[in-house]
Amino acid sequence: MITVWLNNEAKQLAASTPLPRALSEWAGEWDNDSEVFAIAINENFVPKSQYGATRINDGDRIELLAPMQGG
Amino acid sequence: MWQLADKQLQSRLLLGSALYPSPQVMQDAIRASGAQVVTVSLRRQNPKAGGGNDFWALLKELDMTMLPNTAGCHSVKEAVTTAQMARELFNTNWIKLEVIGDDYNLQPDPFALLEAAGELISQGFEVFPYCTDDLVLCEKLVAAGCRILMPWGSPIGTGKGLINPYALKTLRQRLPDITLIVDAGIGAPSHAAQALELGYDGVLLNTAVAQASDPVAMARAFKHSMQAGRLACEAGIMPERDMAQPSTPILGTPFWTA
Repeated sequence: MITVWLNNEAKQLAASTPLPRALSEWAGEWDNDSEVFAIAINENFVPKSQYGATRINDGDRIELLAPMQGG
Repeated sequence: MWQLADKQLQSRLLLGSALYPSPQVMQDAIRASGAQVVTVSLRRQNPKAGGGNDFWALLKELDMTMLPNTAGCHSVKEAVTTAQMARELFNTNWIKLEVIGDDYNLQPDPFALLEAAGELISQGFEVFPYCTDDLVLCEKLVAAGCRILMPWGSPIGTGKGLINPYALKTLRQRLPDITLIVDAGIGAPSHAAQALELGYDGVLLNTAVAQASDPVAMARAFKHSMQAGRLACEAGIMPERDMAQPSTPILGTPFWTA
């Protein structure tokens, strides 16, 4: 198992988990088409087109951001 | 109509979507303001909470042009990554670029702002930099490729209005071809009118409407003040004088003797 950080919260995952599987583990049922969010790993943006090719590594810091009110 | 980046707009007001007492009041106020551009942001979200999706649904109902911001970013890297995420999330290359240098007055970091602006422009963004009213900074942002500048009127959320009209006037005079929008510090409709009287192309505000006792009525007040300010600018405001000059004709003044 590895430890990663999702929005600054520690999470346990199997080593080298693909990003889509990690997302579905965290969200229960995750539908990438209807959920509105964007992801960065270690402060680098990960486009949706690259989710399938992205694996999560030990210590990765994942930011999962959604639309929010702003000024 | 006026041109903002690639869009033709009627309203010169850009309105924030935060700090309203309820989502319904937000929707009503935005509609009442006549604004066609609404600013939005990105925040950490627990997917199970669904708050982001609820807000997304409200925004879609409004059917407005969205201007995402990089609020809360303190470095070039944070701002660039947030802008990239915003581009995917909101499906727009517009970004209100905020890189904060001081947490007490939320003053932009001019050096990081300039660097981030250059990087984002090279990546195809339309950058709306939230900047100070410093002429040299603004000239450098233009040299970096910014077509739009958003100098502050005063620090975010203070409602102090235009605390340095001289600097704002100087920017207008020196950068006649750049779209200038006063962003931040607007407290009252008269402040917005003043910005447009100075020749500014638009005004971006949030707190003045959202935190008013009646946000919907205040949104309407801003709509009218923006129209008044623009009309005054087009009508040509009389030059200021140091000495009094009578408005009543002197010829035929009663009791006058030479």
